[in-house]
Amino acid sequence: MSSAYTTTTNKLKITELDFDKIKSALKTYLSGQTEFSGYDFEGSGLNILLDVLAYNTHYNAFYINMLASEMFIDSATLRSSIVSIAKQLGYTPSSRKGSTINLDLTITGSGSSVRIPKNTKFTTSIGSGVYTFLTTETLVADQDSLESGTYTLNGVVVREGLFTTSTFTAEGIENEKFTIPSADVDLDTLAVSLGGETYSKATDITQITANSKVYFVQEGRQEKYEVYFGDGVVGKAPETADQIQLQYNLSMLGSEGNGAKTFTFADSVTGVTAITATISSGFTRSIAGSERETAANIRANAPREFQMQKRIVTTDDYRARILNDYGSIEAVRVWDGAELDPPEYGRVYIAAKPTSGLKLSAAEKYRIKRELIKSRSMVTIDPIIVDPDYLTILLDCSVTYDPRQTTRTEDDVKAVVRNAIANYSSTTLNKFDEIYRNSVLTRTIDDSEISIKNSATSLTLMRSFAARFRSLANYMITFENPLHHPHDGHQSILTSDPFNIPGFTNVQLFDLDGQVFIRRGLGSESTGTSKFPRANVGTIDYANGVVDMQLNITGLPRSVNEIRLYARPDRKDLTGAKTVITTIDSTNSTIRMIKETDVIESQQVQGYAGGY
Amino acid sequence: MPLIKTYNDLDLDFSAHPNTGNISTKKDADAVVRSVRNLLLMNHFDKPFHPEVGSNITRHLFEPMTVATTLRLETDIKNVINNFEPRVRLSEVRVQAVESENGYKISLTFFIVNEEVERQTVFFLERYR
Repeated sequence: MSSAYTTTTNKLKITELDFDKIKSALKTYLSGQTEFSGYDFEGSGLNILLDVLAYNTHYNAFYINMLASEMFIDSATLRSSIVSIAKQLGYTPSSRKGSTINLDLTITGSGSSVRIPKNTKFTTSIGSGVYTFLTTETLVADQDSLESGTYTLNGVVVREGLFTTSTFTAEGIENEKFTIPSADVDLDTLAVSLGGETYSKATDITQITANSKVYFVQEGRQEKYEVYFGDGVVGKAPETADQIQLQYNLSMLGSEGNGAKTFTFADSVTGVTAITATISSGFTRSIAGSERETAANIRANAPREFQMQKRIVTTDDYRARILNDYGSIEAVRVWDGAELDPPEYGRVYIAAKPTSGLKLSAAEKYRIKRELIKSRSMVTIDPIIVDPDYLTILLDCSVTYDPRQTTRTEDDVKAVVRNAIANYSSTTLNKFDEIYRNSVLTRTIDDSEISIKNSATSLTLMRSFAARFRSLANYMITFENPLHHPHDGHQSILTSDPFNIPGFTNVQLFDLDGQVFIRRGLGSESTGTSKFPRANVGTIDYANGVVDMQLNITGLPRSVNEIRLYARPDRKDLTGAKTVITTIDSTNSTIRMIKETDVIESQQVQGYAGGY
Repeated sequence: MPLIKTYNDLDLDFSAHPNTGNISTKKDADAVVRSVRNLLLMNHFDKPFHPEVGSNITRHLFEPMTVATTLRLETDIKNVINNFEPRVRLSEVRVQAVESENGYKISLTFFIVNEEVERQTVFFLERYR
């Protein structure tokens, strides 16, 4: 048969992966022989065999490609593959975490003291559901005064979740693992006992001996965590028929548990008739609940964690640790105090934006500093958590739409546009050092509703600062972008919230050719008659977007100590800064809807008039 | 009458040649007729990645035995041969319902391209279950 192959086309191409290309290569190969000439017709027997061969080759190629992809953390897609590779880097994906808060408890009961056991229940309402928060340790409260029948406990930590116990019997086999049956476990609450003895989580393998009572935990199949023990060399091994008890909380809400504010005692405790719970000072709502780590996060965090070796040294370490371990942080910026002018040696500054809201509460800052940073950072370093600076963009949008092409009302279309703006802000901006691109936002607005024909947007920048009352103070505000000033004598592009100065109330800032002035605003009262009570209180650098002022502020009409400064930028694309979060205030942005029919009628009227 | 071009194909029955023991082959008109039969018995999605190939005529076996079904069978047979068997020029497709046997007698009359002899093949289409 080999003599039938008469041409040089019998070199089979082996680089193709696609079914049709593989089959085509096989046909090319067969074209070099005369034994079977019917291979190129869909109904022929040989063609059907070629189908089988090409399908099999394609199947194997696909399988091998997937296999190779799943072997590397960069290209793996299955969570189990990513987790397995992360395991080699000593990384355990973080579990779901229950939201926590500190409560002050006022207890009524009997006896000289009362004991509030671990896992005492408090309930709270979130949405339409009622959820449980549990105390994390057993506490004893002494009577406030003799025979008073009241007891006080301050700063009691409660954590969202349902208390659960799983019991196993060891078979004594090699590599025996005990799977926690729910994927919603909050690993921070896991307590393990073996044969009645409490075991602790293994943290430093160099300190573990053959008799160390430690357990290990890893993510196993179906996203469930597995607990396992030592092998008798590194950690004490369980013996046949040993009873293993795992106690843990199941977090029913994860990150959705954040924000709870009112808590009600919902348990029965010996000697206690009632407990009134109020939120401890420094807390405003429950915090730090988070979802289990996603595959994408594991892919990003596992190599970073390996580089950090469980220590926080570089600024990237701080960033990775906070983003990884603190679920309600959206963006973090860290800088070395030595880079400041004047330098502050031994300090690391951390600016963090929470997922909801603009600033972290004092309790959240304390928790991050105490739990996440101090235990791993260098002893001599003092981490300081500050609020991030925001550069807020206020939009003035004119949106032309055709009401004949939508069933939505004008208000509905406006709401869609406002949502599109908010969505662009949350997904593209809201981080440090991000760039606002006007054309992208305009396209987003145009694509948000089918009836929208076009849109035009003008921008105003807003920065806010806190006033230092009753003293002449320097204020330097930077807008990070050039400000609009095409020529001398151009109208003012700077304005501000009203504030009070000696002798005048409700005055505002404005600019003229590089100088900053104060003028009386609406409702301004004064002892004098001057419309411009203070001239030249500072300078404005249009090219760099910097306003430098000296002000003696005596009061504010608003209850919040915040003065907002508004300016018009020179460009429509805005660059961010490393220390500033750029965001769009979609709520206070103006959206004007123009009906396409109005535009057409207006043009027709103009055209008609022009004919005469 | 010899064909100008010869066609050789594997016999998917995979029977052994009585003399040589090699797998037997189909040649010329036999190869083409076998190809036509394969196409007729092939359903859509039988061929990997090419769901359009095939006649899908077996679906008609579960329909009421009416004139309309017979006509649809004819149309499907014509389409599959015209679309996927360029070696054949159809003369006639006759589909005859045989109610007593719950099946259709299908008779194809065709020319093989470049051949002057008209050929006919007849087969019976019936349900297995």
